[in-house]
Amino acid sequence: MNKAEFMHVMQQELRNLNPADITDILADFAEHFANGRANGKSEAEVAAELGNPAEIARQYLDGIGEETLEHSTSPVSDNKQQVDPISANPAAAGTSPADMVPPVSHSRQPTVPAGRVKGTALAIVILINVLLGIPIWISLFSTLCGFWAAAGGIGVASAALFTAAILQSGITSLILALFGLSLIALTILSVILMVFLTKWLFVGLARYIRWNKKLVMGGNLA
Amino acid sequence: MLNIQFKKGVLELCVLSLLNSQDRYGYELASTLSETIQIADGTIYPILRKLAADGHLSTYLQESPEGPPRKYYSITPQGRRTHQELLIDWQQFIRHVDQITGGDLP
Repeated sequence: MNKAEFMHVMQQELRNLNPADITDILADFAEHFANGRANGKSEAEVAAELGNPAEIARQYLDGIGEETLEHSTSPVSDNKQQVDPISANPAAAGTSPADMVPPVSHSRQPTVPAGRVKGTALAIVILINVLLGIPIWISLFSTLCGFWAAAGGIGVASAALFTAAILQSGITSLILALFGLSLIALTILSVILMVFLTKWLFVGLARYIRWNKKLVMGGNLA
Repeated sequence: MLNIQFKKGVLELCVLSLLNSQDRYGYELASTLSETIQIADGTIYPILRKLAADGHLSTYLQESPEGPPRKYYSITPQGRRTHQELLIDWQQFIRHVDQITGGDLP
């Protein structure tokens, strides 16, 4: 690639910037080519050292350069894989060495290799479960079953009231029907409540089981 | 290879360090840095522009004995402050990495 080609690609890629900025940026690169020539380098050599013009242009556009930073002659390795959520953050434009490299401190470091079970942790988890976990969960689920039974009971009662209302006549029938209606409303309400309660309880149980596994496996399942 | 954001931040620190001692022009900065850190020369210009836009650098043109006038970059007082902060961050970071790689951590 010679100077003209390089400048042409840059200009094309920068077309969304305002004209004054484009002129300014291109002048920097024209100067670089001139200095390269003064140092005895060919246009092709200077262009190769500068790198890919499209990628340099992109650095101007979004303020965050990606592959451009890799020298064109050095093997471009697994940059893409190493881009973590932090570097994907557009606010990273003004990065300092401190805030750009949290991978070390933030990455999860398994203290125990996967699969190896810590003996003491396992014993403690079993003890906690036998003494506390299992009884508590059984009572929670029993309570849940009881609530469901209650909701069902209210439903049956409302049906019974309606049957009675049909068998009766006059003011008694009306009163029974109204009672039945209010009980139906109560049934619907409790079923809705119970659905949520059941869901939460199962989610809670799943979390509890995961927490137990984590304790035993040393954080590998986090 | 190192994280891109990481390298970019380090480049800002390097540019400010080079300019801390004396004013330099783009080609000079680019070739100095690409000699030591493996980067494409072109990478330096967007960084210079950003540093100038943020008030860390100022620029002026100066005639050169060979060829057209050169754009020189000069560090501003704000740039010196930023340089100090980045330098401290960097040294802290290096120390932490040393601790981890040297096995000084539990």
